[in-house]
Amino acid sequence: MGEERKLLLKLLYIINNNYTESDLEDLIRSMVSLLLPLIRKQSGLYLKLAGYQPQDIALLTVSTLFIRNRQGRFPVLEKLFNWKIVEKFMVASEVDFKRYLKNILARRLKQTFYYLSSEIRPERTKIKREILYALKKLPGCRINKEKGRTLVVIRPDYEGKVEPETLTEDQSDRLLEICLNRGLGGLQVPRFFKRLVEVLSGQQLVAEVSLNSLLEVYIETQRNYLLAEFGNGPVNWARPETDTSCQELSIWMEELRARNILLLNRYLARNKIAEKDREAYLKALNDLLQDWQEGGQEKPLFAYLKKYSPEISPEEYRKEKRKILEYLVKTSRDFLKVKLREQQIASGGI
Amino acid sequence: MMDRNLKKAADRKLINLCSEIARPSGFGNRVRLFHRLSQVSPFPHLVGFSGLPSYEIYAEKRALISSDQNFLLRILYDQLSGRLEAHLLHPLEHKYRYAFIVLDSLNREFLTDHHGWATLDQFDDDRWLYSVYVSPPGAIFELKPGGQPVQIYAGESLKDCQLKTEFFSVGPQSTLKVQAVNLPESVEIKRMVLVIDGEETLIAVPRKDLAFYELPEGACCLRIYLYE
Repeated sequence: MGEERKLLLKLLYIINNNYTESDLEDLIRSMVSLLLPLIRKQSGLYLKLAGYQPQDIALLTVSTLFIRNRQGRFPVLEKLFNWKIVEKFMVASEVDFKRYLKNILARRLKQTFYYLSSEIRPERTKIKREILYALKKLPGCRINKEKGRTLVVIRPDYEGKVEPETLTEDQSDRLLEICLNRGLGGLQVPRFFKRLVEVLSGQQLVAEVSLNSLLEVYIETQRNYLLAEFGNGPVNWARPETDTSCQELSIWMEELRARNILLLNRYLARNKIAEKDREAYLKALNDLLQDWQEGGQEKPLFAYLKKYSPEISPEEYRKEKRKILEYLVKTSRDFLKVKLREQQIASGGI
Repeated sequence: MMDRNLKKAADRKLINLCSEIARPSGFGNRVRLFHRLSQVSPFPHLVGFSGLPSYEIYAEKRALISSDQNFLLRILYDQLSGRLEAHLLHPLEHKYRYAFIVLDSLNREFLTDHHGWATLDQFDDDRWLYSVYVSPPGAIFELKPGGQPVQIYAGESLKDCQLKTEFFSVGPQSTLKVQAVNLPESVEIKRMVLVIDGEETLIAVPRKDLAFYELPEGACCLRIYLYE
């Protein structure tokens, strides 16, 4: 008898409430082994930092199927594998059953990720969503999507006849200054932007900035507020409990920085980059590594490099720099993947 | 060698989950019951509690009692179905409502209802009576529509425990995510029981103090019971 057929029989025993512990173990084991490759495909640093191992996700997904009622039956499992379905698979081919089981598990896995989204979604992405939500509700705010960029226009109603001044993307520092001077720190996203609209209205200003800039302005305002509120020391924040300790992560980042310096020195020795480019690449990579630690890449790679090499044009970047930067990012990512993998193996997570 | 160790660790997690689902949990907060050395009553009228059929179908088979004499478990024989029923009594209602009765020698657990009733099974002999435990809930929370979970009872070890709940809608079905937070380090939640409108009961084996429940349509008043 094929493995799938045996599995179907075990499922039948469980649905009939006539199972042994080994039936249950075999079924759960098969489900977990079907789920693990799907999870590994999707699991990254965020999942790891949220304190979940792929096996935890698999077991969480499976355990929702095995919620019992007082009669000791599993209503969710029985709903998914009711009599009609089981009977159909008893006569169908084993491949069909495996496909059905895999589809069901993939769907349940998607749901598990959805249920856990508040924990495993990077913090910055969460704030970004909150900002979008708050802006959609505020009168005078418009959100435009242009070439993959989200542009926010904050144009409050004015009573005066004078054309208001527009703060553009390059003037986001001024926007930050306004937020800091007007004491917007410490406010939650909806109140922060409500106040910001009021302040802009009072100063007869219009803002046309990208969503990412607004996010930076919000984060920077909060950071300044916290520093001012709790003294000048670094702000401690509670990282979720994880197998990858902050110390371990910092060591990896240091190793990675040293590695990137080495790679860039090689480019320099071969005259592929200039000395000032080397510095720009290095600083851009450092910023990217910092963003990875804090939740993820926030802007295109070009923007990271442009910050330290302002004269660079998009054409020049595409022609000369992109290849090098993308290679450095790829090797950095691979380096972290290997480290995470090693750490996962060492802690017995797989 | 390394691979073998990894496989063992992964298997252990899996086996733990299977045994938690299939077997009674090793509850941290459990009370052993002993035989009560008094004459048990064969008469159904002494069973005297509400909600029972008036005709005489029950007879008391055994009575078990805790060492502090607060828990009393009466095992009754249903002469019609041939099944055993258990009725748990305690002066405090949160001790007998939705408490687990663990039959250690048979590797079985049964959850009592609102009245302290649980339907056991048909057992061939009386061996199972030698090790019977009761595990009452360590904390109880109530969740009303649109509100936050409110702690309505908590034992000493779970008095700081809080529940984080979130509702999700996946198609017509809504799912409740329940996570116990602020737990003392030594405490592990072994079972989470959700009672929907006082009728439907769902028992989850939480992973990482987290459980997901698929709710029936129109679920209104929810109570969540935590067991250490």
